[in-house]
Amino acid sequence: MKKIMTLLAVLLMVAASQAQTLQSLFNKYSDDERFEYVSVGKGMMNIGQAFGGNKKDKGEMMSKMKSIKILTLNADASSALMKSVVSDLDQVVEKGNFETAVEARDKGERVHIYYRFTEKDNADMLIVTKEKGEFSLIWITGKMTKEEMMHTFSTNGKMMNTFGCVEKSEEPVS
Amino acid sequence: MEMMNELLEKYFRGETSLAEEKELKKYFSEGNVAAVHEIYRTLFEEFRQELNETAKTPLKKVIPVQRKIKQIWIQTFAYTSIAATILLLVWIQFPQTKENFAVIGGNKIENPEYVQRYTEKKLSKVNNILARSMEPMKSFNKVRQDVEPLQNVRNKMNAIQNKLIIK
Repeated sequence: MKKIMTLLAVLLMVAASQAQTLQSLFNKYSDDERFEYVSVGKGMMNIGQAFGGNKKDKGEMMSKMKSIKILTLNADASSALMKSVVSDLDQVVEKGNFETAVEARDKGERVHIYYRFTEKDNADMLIVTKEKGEFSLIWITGKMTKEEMMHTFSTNGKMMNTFGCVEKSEEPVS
Repeated sequence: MEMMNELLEKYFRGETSLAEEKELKKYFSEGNVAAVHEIYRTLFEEFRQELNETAKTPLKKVIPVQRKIKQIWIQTFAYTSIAATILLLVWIQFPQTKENFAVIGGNKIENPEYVQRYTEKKLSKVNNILARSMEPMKSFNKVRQDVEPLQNVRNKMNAIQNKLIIK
């Protein structure tokens, strides 16, 4: 009995520590009024799938996604808050066993895409966009193999097409 | 008769001794029962018949298990801990059923259309940056495609050269 209890405690701690870093980062800032926070669950992705056309690949990818969480900060790059978020993110990426998939820069806009795999093909994709006065953190969770994840990066823009965002004009969200 | 009345009253009050009950049973089984007591005869007859009944399957001897208090406490604690752990794991796996919402300026917005448009806008922005920054890669691919026929020519030339050498 003692052994089972110890094993359960260790399992719980491991599970908590795996989810903690990235989750705690989102938890820390999602309630902050200076941030914009959006959470999309599996249900809404199915809605997107229903309206997003009948492409087989797209449907398959959508079915693999579990959730999308977006955290946005509109602040000056030199502000203390921005520095704090960037510092926290660096720690999460470093300690969370993330690997870099894409690093892109265009006229002062930067995109970093990180990914990691946990047990049973659970994947986390972390997209970080930095531009003048805006910092966004997009966390996509899903159940996919490393090959499937790499497939999303194989073609330019293919990953975003998966979500139904094909080169749209940037309309303001009201 | 008077004595039997008293005994019956005591019996129904539950105050009779084993000897008195034995006497009552004997009285009702002998057949010399007064008319006023006739109504109780079936009751005592039933008791007598039950006495003669035997169990069809062997009865198990039940001994009450006296567990130690400490053992009970450990087991209770263990089961509670296991239940709490399972609940916690389930809670971690299934965080919230209502997952589609936006929090803008401290205000929670649960409009699915807004949430979807916001998400699309953000992903579209990433897509645009990626598309722009990967533009040189397209040119590179174009050059590679253009050079491909030349590679075929080179391969054919090599093949011809090899044939000539062999000859």
